[in-house]
Amino acid sequence: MHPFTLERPRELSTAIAFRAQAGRNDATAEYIAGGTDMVQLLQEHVRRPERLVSLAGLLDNRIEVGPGGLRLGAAATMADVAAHPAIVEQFPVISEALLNSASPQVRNQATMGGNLLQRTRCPYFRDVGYAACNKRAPGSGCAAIGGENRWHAVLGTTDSCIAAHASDLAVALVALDAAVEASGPRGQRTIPLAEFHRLPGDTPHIETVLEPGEVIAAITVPASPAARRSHYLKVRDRASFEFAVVSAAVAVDLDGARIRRAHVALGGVGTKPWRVPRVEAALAGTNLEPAALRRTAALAAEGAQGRGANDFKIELMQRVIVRAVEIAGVRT
Amino acid sequence: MTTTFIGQPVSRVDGRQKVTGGATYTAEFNQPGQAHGAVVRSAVANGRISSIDTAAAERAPGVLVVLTHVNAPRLAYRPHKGAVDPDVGERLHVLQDDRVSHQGQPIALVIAETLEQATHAATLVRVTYASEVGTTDVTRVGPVPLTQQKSDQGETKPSETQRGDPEAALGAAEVRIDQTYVIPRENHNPIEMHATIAAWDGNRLTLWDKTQWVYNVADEIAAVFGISAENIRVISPFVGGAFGSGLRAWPHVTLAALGARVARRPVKLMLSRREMYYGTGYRPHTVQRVGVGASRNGRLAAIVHDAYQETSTYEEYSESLVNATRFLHSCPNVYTRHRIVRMNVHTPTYMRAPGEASGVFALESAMDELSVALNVDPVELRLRNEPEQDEFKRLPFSSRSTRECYRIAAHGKAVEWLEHVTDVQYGAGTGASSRNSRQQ
Repeated sequence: MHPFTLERPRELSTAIAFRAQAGRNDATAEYIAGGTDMVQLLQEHVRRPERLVSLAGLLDNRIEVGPGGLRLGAAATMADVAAHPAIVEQFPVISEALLNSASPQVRNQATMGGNLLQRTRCPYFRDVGYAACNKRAPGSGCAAIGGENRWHAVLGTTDSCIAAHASDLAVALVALDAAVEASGPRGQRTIPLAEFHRLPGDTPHIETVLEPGEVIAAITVPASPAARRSHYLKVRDRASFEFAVVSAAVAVDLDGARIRRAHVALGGVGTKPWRVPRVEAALAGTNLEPAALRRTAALAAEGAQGRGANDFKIELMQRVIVRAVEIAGVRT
Repeated sequence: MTTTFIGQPVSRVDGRQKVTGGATYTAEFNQPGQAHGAVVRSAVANGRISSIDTAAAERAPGVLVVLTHVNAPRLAYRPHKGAVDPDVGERLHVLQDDRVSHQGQPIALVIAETLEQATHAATLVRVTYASEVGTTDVTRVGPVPLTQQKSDQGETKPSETQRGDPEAALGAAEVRIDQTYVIPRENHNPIEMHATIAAWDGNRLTLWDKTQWVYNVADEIAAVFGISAENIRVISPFVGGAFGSGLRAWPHVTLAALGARVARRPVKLMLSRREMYYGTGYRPHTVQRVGVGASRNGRLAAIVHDAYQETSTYEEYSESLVNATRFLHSCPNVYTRHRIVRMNVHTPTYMRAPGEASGVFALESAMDELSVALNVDPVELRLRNEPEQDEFKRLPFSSRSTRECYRIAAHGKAVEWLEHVTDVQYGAGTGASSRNSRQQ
């Protein structure tokens, strides 16, 4: 661990000012909330901030469910959100995504805001023994392209980076049209979650649209009939404490066996949480019938590019969509 | 003697301590005045260290000592073979020269007041290498024969055996299975990482060490430092899993003792989870061709078992891959060969059911496939090929209970649970095994 100064401001505005002093590309000051990801990255020397700005006690941790929808304070823990009765009932995909993430110990500690900002599990990003990682050291190259890339993305990749976004929660939230409330040096603003994470392009080290100093204050999710009939299906190499090989968050609004409106997002396959609007459009008006679901799920593969060891994800993600829709469809 | 324990639940004597946090593991034996060690490891697989700059690390806060091959004391490394050391080759001599034989090899040791200071300073050591092409892919290197060694009894362990004309018999067999079975490398990862705390008192050394064998650690460290094993006390009351990884004394044990001697302080050296892949052993990658031929009535005509495995460039660790094949089933034509691939990796070691398990997996998988090809029950296939004597040594078995084992496994209590499972292929996955365990 590199030496750093821990700042524990009493006001959020002070914290924001500390962080805003560092530019967007300058990682000399970093926020820490639950710390479940940050501490690992500090210990492995992947992140080397000179100043660590604690958000402890500065952020809202309330969970509010009203007729219009859901508001999650950024400091709410994964465990508390997953277990909240109204979320289990009205937004099951969120609870399921959380319960399929990490371990009970991590879920007790990790926060909503930190979950959306967690860094990729790409092993080359996390091992400083490898020189080439554009995300960790801009311009150094990508060891995963041509390397061990079974876990990597097939959608949204570039020749600079093929790292998959690791959050399950973000996949569920993006499917439900969630938005991020951000606080920063210039006040507050709302960012649709679909526009929150950036594609890697040739600057994979810049992962979100947050400006220097901006912090996630809350997450909002609109209520919808589909959210009640939703499901998170996660396919992974072991049954717990493991990241997704492929996952799907699905919410469906049904008219009998006919799909009126569908929300579908994918995890484990995209460089960011990956919504598939063409699949959603094709599902609208379709019956819950296997052959029809398979045809529509095939649209998810548009633009997908395997890099060898992860080629299988392109077929697997279509099957995961079909099964997730089938499971959500029979939910009462 | 009868006992009332069989069939009854029995609490572990240390169960309460383990579940209440009362059990003390190696890294928890903190000593007064203790300093902490962090290891700098090679970033290349093969070559020489051309320069190593420790100036920045030495200036870092809290750093007491930075040891490299340039300034580390020359250690005795007296000739020594523990019972679990490979017969051929020589253990890694840490920080004794500029040679790098594998990625992750220790090339410097930082001793500092705190763990954080030590790990930070370790990142400040600047190393350049004269890197050479390394071999790290078992399929891209030619296997070579095992070095022939005479055992204590004066016998030479054969690495290649043949009786009859196996290839011809395999080619002529009415039914034939000829497959290659691959087991990738399996790294040791017990829940407790390896750790050592070393404290010198004059020429006497105390080691708190995660080990399965305290006497072996004392004997080896005595040989490394050229002192008497009587002057070394090794303490290891609890082991948080080891599965074979704690049998040998690995390089980090030497490093802890070396750091403590130079720093004149007790030193704790605990490996990180990442470091568990760099020097505490693993089940080697094996590639095994097994051909089995039989008559239509299920009598074996030929077995060909040709196996190779990875080992390091400096030690010849060999699994007992083909030993059981020589006598497990009755067969007139049998060929076995065991070769190794020397690679730029650290030395593999025993892992739960060492050697025989990897080899028998291949043989018995082929037997299962043969039973399917013959449409013969897999247990029945083995019973039809039960030998009357050890056909390799041409000696009677001192004991052999395979018929009884097959009977119990196929029809007795061992498969009662199967009645609760549907769509089970009865007998599929059957396997016989053998483990030659010498009582000492």
